[in-house]
Amino acid sequence: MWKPSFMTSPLKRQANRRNARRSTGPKTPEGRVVSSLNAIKHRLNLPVDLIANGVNLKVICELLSSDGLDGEQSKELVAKLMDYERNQAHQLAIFKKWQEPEVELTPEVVDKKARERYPEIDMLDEMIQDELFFTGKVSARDVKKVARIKEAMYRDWIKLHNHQQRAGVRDAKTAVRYYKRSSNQLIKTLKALGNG
Amino acid sequence: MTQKANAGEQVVPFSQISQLIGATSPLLPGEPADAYKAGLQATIAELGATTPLQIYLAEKIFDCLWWIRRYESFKRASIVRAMGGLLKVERLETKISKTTSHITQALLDGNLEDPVVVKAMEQHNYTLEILTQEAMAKRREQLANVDEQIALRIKTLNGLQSSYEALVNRKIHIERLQLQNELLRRDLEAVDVEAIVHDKPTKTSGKQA
Repeated sequence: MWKPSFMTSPLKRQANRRNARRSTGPKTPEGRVVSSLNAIKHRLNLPVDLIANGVNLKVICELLSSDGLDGEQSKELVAKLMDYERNQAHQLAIFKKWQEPEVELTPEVVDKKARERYPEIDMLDEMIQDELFFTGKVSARDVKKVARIKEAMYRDWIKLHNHQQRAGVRDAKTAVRYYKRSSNQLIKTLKALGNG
Repeated sequence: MTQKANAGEQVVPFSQISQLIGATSPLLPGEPADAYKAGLQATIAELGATTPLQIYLAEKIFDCLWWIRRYESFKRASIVRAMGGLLKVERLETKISKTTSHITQALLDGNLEDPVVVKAMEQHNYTLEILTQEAMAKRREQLANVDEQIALRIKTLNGLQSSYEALVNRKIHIERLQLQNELLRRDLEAVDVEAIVHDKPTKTSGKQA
């Protein structure tokens, strides 16, 4: 009768190490492009590229000429306006997240969410059920071991959840800093144009 | 009713500049589009914005006001939700029960005489003041964040208002200078400039000397 083993055999361990050594990052150019973007979080610190954003500068310059702005002044102002709008959109996205209802970490919620993240929990439960079905009994040692693994996964999920919460707060603070900077720069430019 | 009917409608930015630079809709789902449009029109009319840049700035000024209002209502809703959480019938309820949602709704509507609310407050031994204080203490960090955001929006609003004034004054200055130039040109044309011509050494005067 097949009996599930919870211990990793030395052979399996060796195979795992061999396989891990094979995967050393992306190989294809497409994969490398994707992984090169991993570090990008919000792009708020990048300078505004008017051409890449498809801005019709000519039309805007014509519009701004009624306020007595020349081409260079209009170009400078449009860059600041776009930076401000970009930050405004980011603030809106953050506010949308704020409005989502908070998840209270009750045992049921943790169990549900951890199962979504770690399908191994269901697999472990199935293994225990299978063993019970085929042999009619489960050893207390195995039950304890499964409980320990599941607990570790729950703890891991809680840790990840808390980390995400902290990261969310940190990102919101960063976004505020960028918004402050963009609004200050816009106001400064507008005042300079007004006084100039 | 009309506000609710239009809630969540995507509003295209009003000013031409916003549209050209690809600004996104300033409204969140569920916000009244009609109230936004009416407020924006009133701000533009009040400021007397006529040029595209002035209209854009008026729009941004109104956006700041809208954000401040949004943050204020968020603060209120956050406190009320915390109050609803404190008045939970069962402390360990995993899903929001009907009673809890009824209590939260009654508190949002300001209906403090609601029998369910009164009963829940009695059950948990709360007065309204203590309940509010506890809810605020529970959400202290979030409220501090929102207050910070409101302060930032007020600062931006002030900056935008002063730059709007500077731009309007600039236009007036330019118009005034243009009028002065025109006046000077007219004056110069009216002046008899023959005497200046006589002062120049001419061929005839050279010959005479």
